[in-house]
Amino acid sequence: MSMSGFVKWLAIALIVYFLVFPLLMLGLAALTGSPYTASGPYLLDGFGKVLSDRAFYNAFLTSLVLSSLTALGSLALGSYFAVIATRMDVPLRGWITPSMVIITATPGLFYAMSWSMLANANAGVLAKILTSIGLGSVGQVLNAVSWPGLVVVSIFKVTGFAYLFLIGPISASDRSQEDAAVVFGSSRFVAFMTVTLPSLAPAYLAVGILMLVFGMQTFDIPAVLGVPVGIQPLSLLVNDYLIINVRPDWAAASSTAVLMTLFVAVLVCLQIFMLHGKDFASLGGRAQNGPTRPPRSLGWLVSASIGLYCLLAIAAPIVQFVIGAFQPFFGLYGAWTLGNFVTVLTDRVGVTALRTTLLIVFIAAPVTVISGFLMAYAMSRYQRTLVSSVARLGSWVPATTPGIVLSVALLATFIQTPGIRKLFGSPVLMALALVVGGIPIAVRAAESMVAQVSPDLESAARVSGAGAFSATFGIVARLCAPALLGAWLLISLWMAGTLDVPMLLQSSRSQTIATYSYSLFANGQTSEAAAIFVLFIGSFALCILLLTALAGLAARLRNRVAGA
Amino acid sequence: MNFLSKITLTFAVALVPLATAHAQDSLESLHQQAVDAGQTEINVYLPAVRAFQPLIDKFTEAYPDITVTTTELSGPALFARLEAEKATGAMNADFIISGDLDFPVLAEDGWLQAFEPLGVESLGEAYVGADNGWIVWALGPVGVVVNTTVVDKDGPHSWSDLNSPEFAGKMVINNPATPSTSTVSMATLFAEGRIDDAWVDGFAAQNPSTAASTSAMMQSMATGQYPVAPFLPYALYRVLAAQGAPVDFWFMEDGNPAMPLSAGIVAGAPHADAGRLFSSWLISDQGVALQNSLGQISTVDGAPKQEGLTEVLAVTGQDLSDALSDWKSRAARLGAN
Repeated sequence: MSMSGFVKWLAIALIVYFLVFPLLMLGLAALTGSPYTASGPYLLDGFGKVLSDRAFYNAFLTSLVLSSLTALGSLALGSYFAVIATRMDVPLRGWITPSMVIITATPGLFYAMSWSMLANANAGVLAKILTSIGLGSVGQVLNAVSWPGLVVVSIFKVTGFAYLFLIGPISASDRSQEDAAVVFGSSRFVAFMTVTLPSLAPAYLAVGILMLVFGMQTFDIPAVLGVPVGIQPLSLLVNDYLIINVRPDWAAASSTAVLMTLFVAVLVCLQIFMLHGKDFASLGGRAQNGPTRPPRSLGWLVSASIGLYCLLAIAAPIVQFVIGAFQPFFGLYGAWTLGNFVTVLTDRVGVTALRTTLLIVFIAAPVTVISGFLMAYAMSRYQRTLVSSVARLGSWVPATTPGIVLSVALLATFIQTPGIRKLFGSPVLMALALVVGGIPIAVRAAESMVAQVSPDLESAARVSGAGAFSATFGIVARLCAPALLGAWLLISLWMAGTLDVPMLLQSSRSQTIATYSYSLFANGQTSEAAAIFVLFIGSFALCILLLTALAGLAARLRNRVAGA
Repeated sequence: MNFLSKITLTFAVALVPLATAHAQDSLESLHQQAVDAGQTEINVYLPAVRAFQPLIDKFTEAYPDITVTTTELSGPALFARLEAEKATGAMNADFIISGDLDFPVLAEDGWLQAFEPLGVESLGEAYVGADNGWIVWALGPVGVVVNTTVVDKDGPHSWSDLNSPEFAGKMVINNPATPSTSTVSMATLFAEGRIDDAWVDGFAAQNPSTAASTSAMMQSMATGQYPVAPFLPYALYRVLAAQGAPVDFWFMEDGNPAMPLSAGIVAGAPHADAGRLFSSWLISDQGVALQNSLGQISTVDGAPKQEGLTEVLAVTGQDLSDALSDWKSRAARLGAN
């Protein structure tokens, strides 16, 4: 077997083992009622229970409406800000990317809690302010704990995610065709909508479906803002299947996950059908234009929209979250303390959790990004081959499965593998599971960018003597770097905040900040839970700043050496 | 006091230190047994690690050569983890602490090994699990916690107060469909005859809001969003009060329900001897003395309880399962599926 043949089969084996095999385990769990039993009897009770449960259809519809509205709203807002950030030279433009990183980094639970404190008719800060200026009736309407509140807050939160996904493809898109349309009399807006936007279809479809799927799995925000008013999406129903009786109903939970996978499979088929036979390569090495200055009045309007978004979606809830870390009790004003930080920093478990999480984001997250890039590359360059089909299927599996059900499927996969089973309880297995969980984000981020890089560039490099490795990583990966960096950031923050995977696979002696803060939150120590997240985000930002400074220094030294 | 009573009391007073000394000796022998077996660690799986940390610290202080490692696991995650450990053949769990409701199922599935801890004779019959598989070692009183900036109602309080019009739309409970603190408390009150069907209808008419977790319930009550949390553990009330939240706990004149907390040694535990020591220590003098400071009540006969608590209502084991089954039809009136 040739080297390339060996690599291809190795890739297929890895994808099948880490991404497809857990899907089979889910199917087995749905039939046997246990994620650890492959032997029968095989029953359809789980599917029967779910499909005859009226609550399932209500929850599915609720999830579909919520996730569709969230995906559409956040894609629109994310695109708007990505276009401003990459193309318009306006005041406040520099605020956009840091703001989007901050909003993505803020845990969903705290974001929702902050909004429930800001906008609720009984005791919300907004209601109090409005009452004090004689607008009490408006304050009664501004209620985050409601359907409109849930949708708006979800859109605000997910916009950060959409922006970080779209900024790479939008900044890399070639503007020469759009310029040509403008030269021939079209307005810039119409040219963007009719020329550039269609060329970004792979990015929008990939991100749109991912957000739709994630929206159907989201738990934290509906749990805080939906449950009190009777809104129960699918994720909460699956949770009920597991906790409603002492013995978890794995059959019902796994059956729901399998049905979700089928639903996503339909969406992916739709995506393939819509993109079939079209070429979206727009990145051919031509020069890019920098941001341009819009007319003065438009510039101020755009700046005002940035300011308004930052104030409403970021400053208000996130300041509340950060302030909460300095309050003796989260959300109660009047007293201030550094005690929460002192408590977590003097707690050996807290410090270990912080260190473990930082190690994970700087080791496991890059591994996820590279794996995701290679899968996206295979999907784009080897279309209609086995490796492409397996990669496409595998890249969706982790996204379709509710948190704890995915963790159990992974656990079941790992413990039935001789050798790997010995890693049970070690941080290595936990990191592997986190890599698997992060794959959908990495693939979706890379997929759209790889589609935009013309294969001609690689062909030119290969003709000039470059090897496959150099052409793939030296050219394609390099051009995809902005999207991959965005993916790394998203995956890092997801890994830091996710609870289910570490809970089942972590070593008893080590925790991540997600499990540590959950423990604090469950005991009513919400301010300390906020403090550990503020510390993590601070440490993470510091590490990135240090790395950026080091990279700058290295580039300067390189230039100096080259100059000498 | 007659002569006989005096003699009896004198003997009793004289015997207490003797009994205590004997228990201490026996604890020491269990300790020595664990150390001799090389079991200098114990892995405890439990919910709300933070709440039990003082207990773990005290045990470690008493037995510094035994390291206690805690892992926060409960509900489906606990069962999944145990099954995974069994499947790998690498059992890590030694000891489980959880709500009593989990233990009949854990025992039925073969996850527990029988053991009679030292001092088990001082526990009531209701507090020893079937076939000595586990013990109910503590009770967590539950009551109404109110935000004092919104609710100002002098005692004495009773459960009928909750159906007063002034609390309509102001209360928050756990999901009544799940075996949560709110559900167990209401099922207990119903089983003990402190509330009836008319109360359930009245309470449903108050339109209580549902929180996805106890933590969310605490948060919304303390910030005034829903200023009344009718079923919150006393231990969590103390955490809120210590942080400066404006809250008050109502001890009810018709009694407060209590969540039974149980503990058992895992079948095939790698450190079962250390588990035996820990189990016995939980109901030892030292363990009992600590319960009150944690906002709980030890199940050992004569253990102190919180000042103001008129009556503790606790249902355990099969009786609790039956009470919950009986409650299910009523829970539907509160919006449970």
